[in-house]
Amino acid sequence: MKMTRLLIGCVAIAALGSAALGQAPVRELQMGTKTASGGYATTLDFELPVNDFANAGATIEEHVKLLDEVTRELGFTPTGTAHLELEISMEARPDGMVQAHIKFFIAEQPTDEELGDEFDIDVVQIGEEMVAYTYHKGGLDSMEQSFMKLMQWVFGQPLEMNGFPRIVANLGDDDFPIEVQMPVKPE
Amino acid sequence: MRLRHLLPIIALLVTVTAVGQDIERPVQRGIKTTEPGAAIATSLAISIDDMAGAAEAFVRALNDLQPMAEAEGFTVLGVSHIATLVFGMPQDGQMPFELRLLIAEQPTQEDYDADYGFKVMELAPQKVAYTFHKGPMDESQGTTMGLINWVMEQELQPTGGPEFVMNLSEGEEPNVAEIRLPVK
Repeated sequence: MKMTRLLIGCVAIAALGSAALGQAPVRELQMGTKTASGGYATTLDFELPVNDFANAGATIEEHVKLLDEVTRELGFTPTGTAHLELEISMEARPDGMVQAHIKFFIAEQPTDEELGDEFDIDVVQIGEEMVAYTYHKGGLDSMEQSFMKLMQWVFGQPLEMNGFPRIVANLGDDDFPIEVQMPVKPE
Repeated sequence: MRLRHLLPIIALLVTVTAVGQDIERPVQRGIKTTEPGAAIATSLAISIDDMAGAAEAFVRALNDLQPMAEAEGFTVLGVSHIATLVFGMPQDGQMPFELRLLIAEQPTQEDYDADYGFKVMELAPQKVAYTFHKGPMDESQGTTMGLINWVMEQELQPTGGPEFVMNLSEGEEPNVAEIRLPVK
C-alpha cells in the first residue's frame, strides 16, 4: 500500500513536470524578417579584437560611456536604444581587429550642418531597412552563437545579406535580451 | 584624419559651450511605420481626476507584470508601451490604458488564447506620428497635445489613442519617452 502511494506520488510529480517544480516553460525565440525603424543617432567608431570577442566587453563599455557623455554634452538625449555594428567579413584583417560602430538613438532633431560633420563622433540619419532578426539571452561571450543561428536561418531563406550584422541593446539594463540583426534583401 | 585623440578636448569645448549657451534642441516629430513584435499586456483604468498618480500606477503594474511573464517562460526586452485605448475624453470618467511589455519569444496560438492573468499579443506594424517627451511622464500632456495639433495640421486622421514607448532601466522612471499616435 505504501509502495502504491509512493508510486502515485512519483507519477504525479512526473506528470506535473516542470510546472510543479516552478520552472517556466522553454520557448522558441522570435526569428524572422522585418523593416527596422530608422531615426537619428550619434555614432562612435572603434576597433575590437575579432579573435577575443569574449573579452571585448570592457572596450565596448568604455566607448559606450564616452559616447553617452559626448552625446549629452552636445545637447542630445539618448532614447535608450543603441546599435553596435560590427564590420565582420570572411577575410580577417592581419591584426585580427574588426571595425565597430556604436550608435545611440537620440530624441532631438539634428540640423543639416550636424549631419554633415566629419568627426569620429558623427550625427547620422538611420533609414528604415529590411533585416533578419532574433534575440540573444546571455552575455556577450556567447553572442556569436546567436549570430550563427541567424546566419544559418538567413541562408535557408530566399534572402541575401545586405550589410554588416549588429546588435540592438537597451542601454538601461544589461539583463535584458539583446536583439541580433542582419540587413538582408530578397535574392 | 582620425580625431579620436581629440575627443576629450572636443568634449571639454562642448561642455564649456553648453554651460555658456544651455543648448536647447527641438525634439523630432514625424511619421513612421513601427516595427512588428510580440508583447504581453494588461489593462488598467485610471480616473481622469487622478491622472497625477498615473505614472506611479503604470510603474507598479509593469513591475507586477514582468514576473508573471517570466513564470510563463517569456523574457521581457526592456521596452514598455503604455497605450491609451480611447482618443479623447472617456464617457465614464475612467481612462482605459493597455500596458505592454515587449518579449523575445515567439508566442504560439495557445498563448494568444490562454488565460495567464495577462494577454499575449502580436504587434503588427502600424503607421504613426511620433515625437519624444523629455522629463517626468506626469508632465507629458503638453507634448502629446503638440503632437495631436501637428497631426491635425498635416491633415492626418488619428486612428487610436496616444501611446508612450519607454525603455525600462533598473526600476527608475526613464527621462525620455517616445509618444506615438496611430494615423492614416
